[in-house]
Amino acid sequence: MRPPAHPPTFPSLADAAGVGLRHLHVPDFLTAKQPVGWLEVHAENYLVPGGPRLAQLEKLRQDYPISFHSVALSLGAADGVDEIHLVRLKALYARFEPAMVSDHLAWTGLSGTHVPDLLPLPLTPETLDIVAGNVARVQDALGRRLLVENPSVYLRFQEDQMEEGEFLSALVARTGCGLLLDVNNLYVSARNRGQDAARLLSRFPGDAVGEIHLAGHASLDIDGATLLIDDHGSAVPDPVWALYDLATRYFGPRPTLVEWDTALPPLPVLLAQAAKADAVRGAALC
Amino acid sequence: MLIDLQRAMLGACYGDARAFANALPFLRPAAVPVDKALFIHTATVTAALTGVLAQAYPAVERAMGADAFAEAAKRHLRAHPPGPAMLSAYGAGFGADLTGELPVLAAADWAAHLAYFAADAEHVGLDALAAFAPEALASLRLPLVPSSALVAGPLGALAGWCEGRADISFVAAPLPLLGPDAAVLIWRGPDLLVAATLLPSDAGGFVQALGEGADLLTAAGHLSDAGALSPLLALLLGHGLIAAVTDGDPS
Repeated sequence: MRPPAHPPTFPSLADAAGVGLRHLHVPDFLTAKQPVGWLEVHAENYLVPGGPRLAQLEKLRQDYPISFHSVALSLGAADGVDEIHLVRLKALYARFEPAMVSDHLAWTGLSGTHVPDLLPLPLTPETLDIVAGNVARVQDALGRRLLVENPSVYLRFQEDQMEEGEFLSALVARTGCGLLLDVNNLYVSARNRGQDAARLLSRFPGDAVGEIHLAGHASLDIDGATLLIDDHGSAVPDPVWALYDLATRYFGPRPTLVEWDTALPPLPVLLAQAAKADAVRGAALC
Repeated sequence: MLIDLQRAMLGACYGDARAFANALPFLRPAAVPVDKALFIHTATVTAALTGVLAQAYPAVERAMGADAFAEAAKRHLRAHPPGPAMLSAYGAGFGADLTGELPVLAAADWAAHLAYFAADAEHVGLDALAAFAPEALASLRLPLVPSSALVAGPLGALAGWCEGRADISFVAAPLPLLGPDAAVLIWRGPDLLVAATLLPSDAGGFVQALGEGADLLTAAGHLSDAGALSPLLALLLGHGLIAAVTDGDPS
Protein backbone atom coordinates (compact mmCIF):
# COMPACT_ATOMS: atom_id res chain seq x y z
CA MET A 1 0.00 0.00 0.00
CA ARG A 2 1.26 3.45 -0.87
CA PRO A 3 -0.49 6.13 1.21
CA PRO A 4 -1.33 9.52 -0.31
CA ALA A 5 1.58 11.88 -0.82
CA HIS A 6 0.62 14.26 1.94
CA PRO A 7 -0.05 13.25 5.51
CA PRO A 8 -3.60 13.37 6.71
CA THR A 9 -4.36 16.51 8.63
CA PHE A 10 -5.82 16.52 12.11
CA PRO A 11 -6.99 20.12 12.56
CA SER A 12 -8.07 19.56 16.12
CA LEU A 13 -4.67 18.14 17.02
CA ALA A 14 -2.84 21.05 15.47
CA ASP A 15 -4.90 23.59 17.40
CA ALA A 16 -3.62 22.70 20.87
CA ALA A 17 -0.46 20.90 21.95
CA GLY A 18 -0.62 17.45 23.47
CA VAL A 19 1.49 15.79 26.12
CA GLY A 20 3.01 12.37 26.47
CA LEU A 21 0.91 10.43 28.98
CA ARG A 22 2.98 8.85 31.73
CA HIS A 23 1.65 6.56 34.44
CA LEU A 24 2.34 9.04 37.25
CA HIS A 25 -0.03 11.56 35.66
CA VAL A 26 -2.85 9.17 34.80
CA PRO A 27 -4.80 9.87 38.03
CA ASP A 28 -4.75 13.61 37.22
CA PHE A 29 -6.34 12.91 33.86
CA LEU A 30 -8.89 10.47 35.25
CA THR A 31 -10.11 12.83 37.96
CA ALA A 32 -10.41 16.05 35.94
CA LYS A 33 -10.38 17.22 32.35
CA GLN A 34 -6.97 18.71 31.69
CA PRO A 35 -6.26 21.57 29.27
CA VAL A 36 -4.39 19.66 26.57
CA GLY A 37 -5.36 18.99 23.00
CA TRP A 38 -4.46 15.32 22.93
CA LEU A 39 -2.44 12.55 24.51
CA GLU A 40 0.30 10.32 23.18
CA VAL A 41 1.20 6.98 24.73
CA HIS A 42 4.04 4.55 24.17
CA ALA A 43 2.35 1.68 22.40
CA GLU A 44 4.52 -1.01 23.99
CA ASN A 45 3.30 0.00 27.46
CA TYR A 46 -0.15 -1.17 26.42
CA LEU A 47 0.82 -4.49 24.86
CA VAL A 48 -0.47 -6.34 27.91
CA PRO A 49 -3.20 -8.98 28.25
CA GLY A 50 -5.43 -6.83 30.47
CA GLY A 51 -5.59 -4.84 33.67
CA PRO A 52 -5.66 -1.21 34.78
CA ARG A 53 -3.57 0.34 32.01
CA LEU A 54 -5.92 -0.72 29.24
CA ALA A 55 -8.97 0.15 31.31
CA GLN A 56 -7.59 3.62 32.04
CA LEU A 57 -6.80 4.24 28.40
CA GLU A 58 -10.30 3.18 27.41
CA LYS A 59 -11.62 5.91 29.70
CA LEU A 60 -9.17 8.56 28.57
CA ARG A 61 -9.87 8.04 24.89
CA GLN A 62 -13.42 9.20 25.55
CA ASP A 63 -12.06 12.66 26.42
CA TYR A 64 -8.87 13.05 24.40
CA PRO A 65 -7.63 12.12 20.93
CA ILE A 66 -4.95 9.47 21.40
CA SER A 67 -1.77 8.98 19.40
CA PHE A 68 0.33 5.83 19.66
CA HIS A 69 4.09 6.17 19.56
CA SER A 70 5.89 2.84 19.37
CA VAL A 71 9.54 2.34 20.17
CA ALA A 72 10.20 -1.21 19.02
CA LEU A 73 9.18 -1.71 15.41
CA SER A 74 12.91 -1.74 14.64
CA LEU A 75 12.44 -0.05 11.28
CA GLY A 76 16.18 -0.19 10.62
CA ALA A 77 16.72 -3.86 11.41
CA ALA A 78 18.61 -5.58 8.61
CA ASP A 79 16.62 -8.78 9.18
CA GLY A 80 13.24 -7.07 8.94
CA VAL A 81 10.56 -5.99 11.36
CA ASP A 82 9.34 -8.32 14.08
CA GLU A 83 6.16 -9.73 12.54
CA ILE A 84 4.74 -10.87 15.88
CA HIS A 85 5.25 -7.41 17.32
CA LEU A 86 3.58 -5.94 14.28
CA VAL A 87 0.53 -8.20 14.73
CA ARG A 88 0.27 -7.14 18.38
CA LEU A 89 0.46 -3.46 17.47
CA LYS A 90 -2.16 -3.90 14.78
CA ALA A 91 -4.57 -5.41 17.30
CA LEU A 92 -3.86 -2.60 19.76
CA TYR A 93 -4.47 0.06 17.11
CA ALA A 94 -7.68 -1.66 15.98
CA ARG A 95 -8.93 -1.46 19.57
CA PHE A 96 -8.01 2.16 20.31
CA GLU A 97 -8.23 3.73 16.83
CA PRO A 98 -5.40 6.24 17.39
CA ALA A 99 -5.32 9.50 15.47
CA MET A 100 -1.66 8.93 14.55
CA VAL A 101 0.88 6.13 14.81
CA SER A 102 4.62 6.59 14.75
CA ASP A 103 8.00 4.99 15.38
CA HIS A 104 11.66 5.86 14.89
CA LEU A 105 14.39 5.87 12.29
CA ALA A 106 16.35 3.41 14.40
CA TRP A 107 16.71 -0.27 15.13
CA THR A 108 15.81 -1.96 18.39
CA GLY A 109 16.50 -5.62 17.84
CA LEU A 110 17.99 -8.30 15.66
CA SER A 111 17.60 -12.04 15.29
CA GLY A 112 14.89 -12.26 17.90
CA THR A 113 16.71 -10.24 20.56
CA HIS A 114 15.18 -6.94 21.63
CA VAL A 115 17.26 -3.93 22.64
CA PRO A 116 15.47 -1.30 24.75
CA ASP A 117 17.28 1.60 23.11
CA LEU A 118 16.90 3.46 19.84
CA LEU A 119 20.10 2.41 18.11
CA PRO A 120 21.47 4.57 15.31
CA LEU A 121 21.82 3.69 11.64
CA PRO A 122 24.49 4.57 9.08
CA LEU A 123 22.79 6.72 6.46
CA THR A 124 23.61 4.79 3.29
CA PRO A 125 21.73 3.53 0.22
CA GLU A 126 21.74 0.03 1.75
CA THR A 127 20.13 1.34 4.93
CA LEU A 128 17.59 3.28 2.89
CA ASP A 129 16.62 0.08 1.05
CA ILE A 130 16.19 -1.76 4.35
CA VAL A 131 14.26 0.99 6.13
CA ALA A 132 12.04 1.62 3.11
CA GLY A 133 11.22 -2.08 2.91
CA ASN A 134 10.41 -2.24 6.60
CA VAL A 135 8.30 0.92 6.57
CA ALA A 136 6.36 -0.38 3.57
CA ARG A 137 5.79 -3.68 5.38
CA VAL A 138 4.50 -1.88 8.47
CA GLN A 139 2.19 0.37 6.47
CA ASP A 140 0.87 -2.61 4.53
CA ALA A 141 0.17 -4.51 7.73
CA LEU A 142 -1.41 -1.58 9.56
CA GLY A 143 -3.24 -0.28 6.53
CA ARG A 144 -2.30 3.27 7.37
CA ARG A 145 0.45 5.84 7.18
CA LEU A 146 3.27 5.62 9.68
CA LEU A 147 5.10 8.70 10.92
CA VAL A 148 8.85 8.09 11.18
CA GLU A 149 10.75 10.11 13.79
CA ASN A 150 14.24 11.52 13.35
CA PRO A 151 16.36 10.11 16.21
CA SER A 152 18.86 11.58 18.64
CA VAL A 153 22.29 10.24 17.73
CA TYR A 154 25.47 10.10 19.78
CA LEU A 155 27.84 8.76 17.15
CA ARG A 156 28.47 8.76 13.41
CA PHE A 157 29.48 5.95 11.11
CA GLN A 158 32.37 5.60 8.70
CA GLU A 159 29.85 4.58 6.05
CA ASP A 160 27.59 7.66 6.37
CA GLN A 161 26.88 8.97 2.89
CA MET A 162 23.73 11.03 3.30
CA GLU A 163 22.46 13.77 5.54
CA GLU A 164 19.41 12.96 7.61
CA GLY A 165 17.09 15.31 5.68
CA GLU A 166 18.19 13.78 2.39
CA PHE A 167 17.67 10.28 3.78
CA LEU A 168 14.21 11.07 5.11
CA SER A 169 13.16 12.79 1.88
CA ALA A 170 14.10 9.66 -0.05
CA LEU A 171 12.25 7.49 2.49
CA VAL A 172 9.09 9.58 2.11
CA ALA A 173 9.35 9.45 -1.67
CA ARG A 174 9.73 5.68 -1.69
CA THR A 175 7.15 4.72 0.92
CA GLY A 176 4.70 7.60 1.24
CA CYS A 177 5.29 7.59 4.98
CA GLY A 178 4.92 10.73 7.05
CA LEU A 179 7.51 12.16 9.39
CA LEU A 180 7.55 13.00 13.05
CA LEU A 181 9.92 15.91 13.47
CA ASP A 182 11.44 15.73 16.92
CA VAL A 183 12.93 19.18 17.28
CA ASN A 184 14.89 18.22 20.37
CA ASN A 185 16.37 15.21 18.57
CA LEU A 186 17.32 17.38 15.64
CA TYR A 187 19.09 19.80 17.98
CA VAL A 188 20.81 17.05 19.99
CA SER A 189 22.03 15.26 16.88
CA ALA A 190 23.23 18.46 15.25
CA ARG A 191 25.22 19.45 18.32
CA ASN A 192 26.68 15.96 18.74
CA ARG A 193 27.70 15.88 15.07
CA GLY A 194 29.07 19.43 15.10
CA GLN A 195 26.40 20.59 12.66
CA ASP A 196 24.17 23.64 12.50
CA ALA A 197 20.65 22.71 13.63
CA ALA A 198 18.90 25.54 11.78
CA ARG A 199 20.56 24.48 8.54
CA LEU A 200 19.48 20.88 9.09
CA LEU A 201 15.94 22.03 9.82
CA SER A 202 15.85 24.02 6.58
CA ARG A 203 16.65 20.77 4.72
CA PHE A 204 14.08 18.69 6.58
CA PRO A 205 11.26 17.51 4.28
CA GLY A 206 8.62 19.64 5.96
CA ASP A 207 5.72 18.72 3.67
CA ALA A 208 5.74 15.24 5.15
CA VAL A 209 5.78 16.34 8.78
CA GLY A 210 2.61 15.09 10.46
CA GLU A 211 3.68 15.67 14.06
CA ILE A 212 6.29 17.56 16.06
CA HIS A 213 7.87 16.49 19.35
CA LEU A 214 9.43 18.81 21.91
CA ALA A 215 11.46 17.72 24.94
CA GLY A 216 14.44 18.51 27.10
CA HIS A 217 17.90 16.97 27.08
CA ALA A 218 20.91 16.56 29.34
CA SER A 219 24.51 17.52 28.79
CA LEU A 220 27.35 15.11 29.52
CA ASP A 221 31.02 16.03 29.70
CA ILE A 222 33.22 13.26 28.29
CA ASP A 223 36.97 13.86 28.19
CA GLY A 224 36.37 17.59 27.84
CA ALA A 225 33.88 17.18 25.00
CA THR A 226 30.16 17.72 25.42
CA LEU A 227 27.64 15.08 24.44
CA LEU A 228 23.96 15.94 24.58
CA ILE A 229 21.73 13.12 25.78
CA ASP A 230 18.07 12.90 24.83
CA ASP A 231 16.82 12.07 28.33
CA HIS A 232 13.43 13.85 28.29
CA GLY A 233 14.15 14.81 31.86
CA SER A 234 13.77 18.59 31.92
CA ALA A 235 11.88 21.51 30.43
CA VAL A 236 12.25 22.29 26.75
CA PRO A 237 15.37 24.48 26.52
CA ASP A 238 15.51 27.81 24.73
CA PRO A 239 17.43 26.62 21.64
CA VAL A 240 14.76 23.97 21.05
CA TRP A 241 11.97 26.53 21.43
CA ALA A 242 13.76 28.69 18.89
CA LEU A 243 13.95 25.78 16.45
CA TYR A 244 10.26 25.03 17.04
CA ASP A 245 9.44 28.64 16.20
CA LEU A 246 11.47 28.25 13.02
CA ALA A 247 9.85 24.93 12.14
CA THR A 248 6.39 26.45 12.52
CA ARG A 249 7.37 29.33 10.25
CA TYR A 250 8.81 26.91 7.67
CA PHE A 251 6.17 24.19 7.73
CA GLY A 252 3.03 25.73 9.22
CA PRO A 253 1.12 24.47 12.26
CA ARG A 254 1.48 20.75 12.97
CA PRO A 255 0.24 18.61 15.85
CA THR A 256 2.78 19.24 18.58
CA LEU A 257 3.58 17.14 21.62
CA VAL A 258 5.65 17.82 24.72
CA GLU A 259 7.43 14.75 26.11
CA TRP A 260 8.81 14.37 29.62
CA ASP A 261 9.84 10.85 30.63
CA THR A 262 12.40 10.99 33.44
CA ALA A 263 12.42 13.06 36.63
CA LEU A 264 8.73 13.65 35.96
CA PRO A 265 7.40 16.93 37.30
CA PRO A 266 3.88 17.50 38.63
CA LEU A 267 1.39 17.64 35.77
CA PRO A 268 0.92 21.46 35.90
CA VAL A 269 4.58 21.89 34.95
CA LEU A 270 4.10 19.70 31.89
CA LEU A 271 0.85 21.46 31.01
CA ALA A 272 2.65 24.80 31.17
CA GLN A 273 5.12 23.50 28.59
CA ALA A 274 2.23 22.52 26.32
CA ALA A 275 0.72 25.99 26.77
CA LYS A 276 4.06 27.53 25.88
CA ALA A 277 4.15 25.43 22.69
CA ASP A 278 0.75 26.86 21.80
CA ALA A 279 2.02 30.38 22.44
CA VAL A 280 5.18 29.90 20.39
CA ARG A 281 3.20 28.41 17.52
CA GLY A 282 0.62 31.19 17.71
CA ALA A 283 3.26 33.91 17.65
CA ALA A 284 5.07 32.30 14.73
CA LEU A 285 1.90 32.24 12.66
CA CYS A 286 0.95 35.88 13.27
CA MET B 1 26.95 -4.71 5.44
CA LEU B 2 24.43 -3.26 7.86
CA ILE B 3 23.81 -6.62 9.45
CA ASP B 4 27.47 -6.96 10.44
CA LEU B 5 27.35 -3.60 12.19
CA GLN B 6 24.09 -4.51 13.90
CA ARG B 7 25.41 -7.86 15.13
CA ALA B 8 28.39 -6.09 16.66
CA MET B 9 26.30 -3.34 18.26
CA LEU B 10 23.78 -5.85 19.61
CA GLY B 11 26.57 -7.70 21.38
CA ALA B 12 28.08 -4.43 22.60
CA CYS B 13 24.76 -3.43 24.14
CA TYR B 14 24.72 -6.65 26.16
CA GLY B 15 28.27 -6.41 27.43
CA ASP B 16 30.07 -8.67 24.94
CA ALA B 17 33.60 -7.21 24.89
CA ARG B 18 34.54 -8.82 21.58
CA ALA B 19 31.39 -7.51 19.89
CA PHE B 20 32.06 -4.08 21.39
CA ALA B 21 35.55 -4.11 19.84
CA ASN B 22 34.11 -5.30 16.53
CA ALA B 23 31.70 -2.36 16.46
CA LEU B 24 34.35 0.33 16.90
CA PRO B 25 35.79 0.23 13.34
CA PHE B 26 32.31 1.08 12.01
CA LEU B 27 32.34 4.38 13.91
CA ARG B 28 33.70 7.70 12.72
CA PRO B 29 36.07 9.45 15.14
CA ALA B 30 34.60 12.57 16.73
CA ALA B 31 35.21 14.90 19.66
CA VAL B 32 33.83 12.28 22.02
CA PRO B 33 35.93 9.09 21.72
CA VAL B 34 33.98 6.45 19.81
CA ASP B 35 34.26 3.83 22.55
CA LYS B 36 32.70 6.21 25.05
CA ALA B 37 29.98 7.25 22.64
CA LEU B 38 29.17 3.59 21.95
CA PHE B 39 29.15 2.85 25.67
CA ILE B 40 26.25 5.29 26.03
CA HIS B 41 24.11 2.62 24.39
CA THR B 42 25.48 -0.19 26.57
CA ALA B 43 24.71 1.90 29.65
CA THR B 44 21.24 2.83 28.39
CA VAL B 45 20.31 -0.79 27.79
CA THR B 46 21.64 -1.84 31.19
CA ALA B 47 19.77 0.97 32.95
CA ALA B 48 16.55 0.35 31.05
CA LEU B 49 16.41 -3.37 31.79
CA THR B 50 17.56 -2.93 35.37
CA GLY B 51 14.63 -0.55 35.76
CA VAL B 52 12.28 -3.09 34.22
CA LEU B 53 13.46 -5.75 36.65
CA ALA B 54 13.30 -3.38 39.62
CA GLN B 55 9.71 -2.55 38.75
CA ALA B 56 8.82 -6.24 38.62
CA TYR B 57 10.83 -7.24 41.71
CA PRO B 58 10.49 -4.45 44.30
CA ALA B 59 10.67 -6.76 47.33
CA VAL B 60 13.79 -8.46 45.99
CA GLU B 61 15.45 -5.10 45.36
CA ARG B 62 14.60 -3.92 48.87
CA ALA B 63 15.95 -7.14 50.39
CA MET B 64 19.18 -7.10 48.38
CA GLY B 65 19.83 -3.37 48.38
CA ALA B 66 20.02 -1.27 45.24
CA ASP B 67 23.67 -1.97 44.40
CA ALA B 68 23.52 -5.74 44.79
CA PHE B 69 20.25 -5.81 42.89
CA ALA B 70 21.79 -3.81 40.05
CA GLU B 71 24.67 -6.29 39.83
CA ALA B 72 22.27 -9.24 39.78
CA ALA B 73 20.16 -7.50 37.16
CA LYS B 74 23.21 -6.84 34.99
CA ARG B 75 24.20 -10.52 35.15
CA HIS B 76 20.66 -11.56 34.28
CA LEU B 77 20.11 -9.18 31.38
CA ARG B 78 23.43 -10.10 29.81
CA ALA B 79 22.73 -13.82 30.13
CA HIS B 80 19.06 -13.52 29.21
CA PRO B 81 18.38 -10.49 27.00
CA PRO B 82 14.74 -9.93 26.12
CA GLY B 83 13.28 -11.67 23.09
CA PRO B 84 9.97 -9.99 22.32
CA ALA B 85 9.65 -6.24 22.69
CA MET B 86 7.10 -6.66 25.49
CA LEU B 87 9.06 -5.60 28.52
CA SER B 88 6.12 -6.20 30.86
CA ALA B 89 6.81 -9.89 30.21
CA TYR B 90 10.58 -9.64 30.72
CA GLY B 91 12.32 -11.10 33.74
CA ALA B 92 10.41 -14.31 34.43
CA GLY B 93 13.53 -16.26 35.36
CA PHE B 94 15.27 -13.58 37.40
CA GLY B 95 14.71 -15.40 40.69
CA ALA B 96 16.34 -18.62 39.53
CA ASP B 97 19.88 -17.44 40.21
CA LEU B 98 19.14 -15.91 43.61
CA THR B 99 19.81 -17.66 46.92
CA GLY B 100 18.36 -17.97 50.42
CA GLU B 101 14.82 -16.62 50.76
CA LEU B 102 15.22 -14.34 47.75
CA PRO B 103 13.73 -16.87 45.26
CA VAL B 104 10.56 -16.95 47.37
CA LEU B 105 10.35 -13.15 47.36
CA ALA B 106 11.05 -13.17 43.63
CA ALA B 107 8.28 -15.69 42.98
CA ALA B 108 5.80 -13.58 44.93
CA ASP B 109 6.92 -10.37 43.21
CA TRP B 110 6.58 -12.00 39.80
CA ALA B 111 3.13 -13.39 40.64
CA ALA B 112 2.01 -9.89 41.63
CA HIS B 113 3.53 -8.47 38.45
CA LEU B 114 1.67 -11.00 36.30
CA ALA B 115 -1.55 -10.41 38.22
CA TYR B 116 -1.38 -6.69 37.41
CA PHE B 117 -1.15 -7.36 33.66
CA ALA B 118 -3.27 -10.54 33.49
CA ALA B 119 -6.15 -10.89 31.09
CA ASP B 120 -9.44 -9.42 32.26
CA ALA B 121 -12.00 -12.01 33.30
CA GLU B 122 -15.50 -12.30 34.64
CA HIS B 123 -15.91 -13.59 38.16
CA VAL B 124 -18.77 -14.99 40.22
CA GLY B 125 -19.77 -14.20 43.79
CA LEU B 126 -21.09 -16.11 46.75
CA ASP B 127 -24.54 -16.32 45.21
CA ALA B 128 -23.18 -18.54 42.43
CA LEU B 129 -23.40 -21.56 44.74
CA ALA B 130 -27.08 -20.95 45.45
CA ALA B 131 -28.08 -22.34 42.07
CA PHE B 132 -26.89 -25.82 43.04
CA ALA B 133 -28.51 -28.40 45.31
CA PRO B 134 -26.47 -29.23 48.43
CA GLU B 135 -25.82 -32.77 47.19
CA ALA B 136 -24.27 -31.35 44.02
CA LEU B 137 -21.65 -29.24 45.79
CA ALA B 138 -19.06 -32.01 46.02
CA SER B 139 -18.78 -32.30 42.24
CA LEU B 140 -18.64 -28.58 41.50
CA ARG B 141 -15.59 -27.08 39.87
CA LEU B 142 -14.50 -23.53 40.63
CA PRO B 143 -11.82 -22.41 38.18
CA LEU B 144 -9.77 -19.44 39.32
CA VAL B 145 -9.48 -16.13 37.45
CA PRO B 146 -6.34 -15.91 35.27
CA SER B 147 -4.66 -13.32 37.49
CA SER B 148 -4.47 -15.69 40.46
CA ALA B 149 -1.31 -17.47 41.58
CA LEU B 150 0.00 -19.24 44.66
CA VAL B 151 3.51 -19.03 46.01
CA ALA B 152 4.60 -21.46 48.73
CA GLY B 153 7.47 -20.81 51.11
CA PRO B 154 8.50 -20.13 54.69
CA LEU B 155 5.80 -18.25 56.59
CA GLY B 156 8.30 -15.67 57.82
CA ALA B 157 9.50 -14.83 54.32
CA LEU B 158 5.99 -14.61 52.91
CA ALA B 159 4.73 -12.51 55.81
CA GLY B 160 7.69 -10.19 55.33
CA TRP B 161 6.88 -9.93 51.64
CA CYS B 162 3.30 -8.98 52.48
CA GLU B 163 4.42 -6.29 54.92
CA GLY B 164 6.85 -4.82 52.40
CA ARG B 165 4.50 -4.50 49.44
CA ALA B 166 2.58 -1.35 50.32
CA ASP B 167 1.25 -1.21 46.75
CA ILE B 168 -0.76 -4.41 47.26
CA SER B 169 -4.11 -4.67 48.99
CA PHE B 170 -3.85 -7.27 51.74
CA VAL B 171 -6.79 -9.38 52.86
CA ALA B 172 -6.65 -10.82 56.38
CA ALA B 173 -5.69 -14.47 56.47
CA PRO B 174 -8.93 -16.51 56.57
CA LEU B 175 -7.38 -19.28 58.68
CA PRO B 176 -4.82 -19.52 61.49
CA LEU B 177 -1.22 -19.55 60.26
CA LEU B 178 0.84 -22.05 62.20
CA GLY B 179 3.96 -22.27 60.04
CA PRO B 180 6.70 -23.01 59.44
CA ASP B 181 5.49 -23.04 55.82
CA ALA B 182 2.60 -21.23 54.20
CA ALA B 183 1.39 -19.96 50.85
CA VAL B 184 0.53 -16.51 49.61
CA LEU B 185 -2.42 -16.25 47.26
CA ILE B 186 -2.13 -13.33 44.84
CA TRP B 187 -4.76 -12.05 42.41
CA ARG B 188 -6.18 -8.93 40.83
CA GLY B 189 -9.54 -8.02 42.24
CA PRO B 190 -12.62 -6.61 40.50
CA ASP B 191 -11.38 -3.12 41.46
CA LEU B 192 -8.28 -3.84 39.28
CA LEU B 193 -6.01 -3.69 42.34
CA VAL B 194 -3.59 -6.52 43.05
CA ALA B 195 -4.49 -8.26 46.29
CA ALA B 196 -2.95 -11.01 48.41
CA THR B 197 -3.59 -13.11 51.45
CA LEU B 198 -1.66 -15.69 53.45
CA LEU B 199 -2.88 -19.26 53.72
CA PRO B 200 -1.76 -22.32 55.65
CA SER B 201 0.00 -24.82 53.41
CA ASP B 202 -2.93 -27.23 53.28
CA ALA B 203 -5.29 -24.43 52.24
CA GLY B 204 -2.77 -23.54 49.55
CA GLY B 205 -3.05 -27.12 48.33
CA PHE B 206 -6.83 -26.78 48.21
CA VAL B 207 -6.66 -23.61 46.12
CA GLN B 208 -4.00 -25.11 43.89
CA ALA B 209 -6.20 -28.13 43.21
CA LEU B 210 -9.19 -25.93 42.34
CA GLY B 211 -7.03 -23.99 39.95
CA GLU B 212 -5.96 -27.20 38.29
CA GLY B 213 -9.57 -28.21 37.67
CA ALA B 214 -10.27 -30.58 40.56
CA ASP B 215 -13.81 -30.83 41.83
CA LEU B 216 -14.62 -29.43 45.25
CA LEU B 217 -14.55 -32.81 47.02
CA THR B 218 -11.15 -33.70 45.59
CA ALA B 219 -9.71 -30.27 46.35
CA ALA B 220 -11.07 -30.40 49.89
CA GLY B 221 -9.08 -33.58 50.38
CA HIS B 222 -6.00 -31.36 50.77
CA LEU B 223 -7.46 -29.74 53.89
CA SER B 224 -6.46 -31.11 57.26
CA ASP B 225 -9.60 -29.60 58.82
CA ALA B 226 -12.92 -29.74 56.97
CA GLY B 227 -13.95 -26.63 58.88
CA ALA B 228 -11.54 -24.63 56.72
CA LEU B 229 -13.69 -25.13 53.63
CA SER B 230 -16.30 -22.53 54.47
CA PRO B 231 -13.92 -19.59 55.16
CA LEU B 232 -11.89 -20.50 52.08
CA LEU B 233 -14.94 -20.46 49.82
CA ALA B 234 -15.98 -17.16 51.39
CA LEU B 235 -12.56 -15.76 50.57
CA LEU B 236 -12.46 -17.03 47.00
CA LEU B 237 -16.04 -16.14 46.09
CA GLY B 238 -16.09 -12.92 48.06
CA HIS B 239 -12.98 -11.41 46.51
CA GLY B 240 -13.48 -12.16 42.82
CA LEU B 241 -11.14 -15.14 42.60
CA ILE B 242 -13.55 -17.62 41.02
CA ALA B 243 -14.20 -17.31 37.29
CA ALA B 244 -17.22 -19.64 37.21
CA VAL B 245 -19.00 -22.40 39.08
CA THR B 246 -19.72 -25.45 36.97
CA ASP B 247 -20.93 -28.94 37.65
CA GLY B 248 -19.23 -30.64 34.73
CA ASP B 249 -15.83 -32.07 34.03
CA PRO B 250 -13.77 -29.26 32.44
CA SER B 251 -12.38 -31.74 29.90
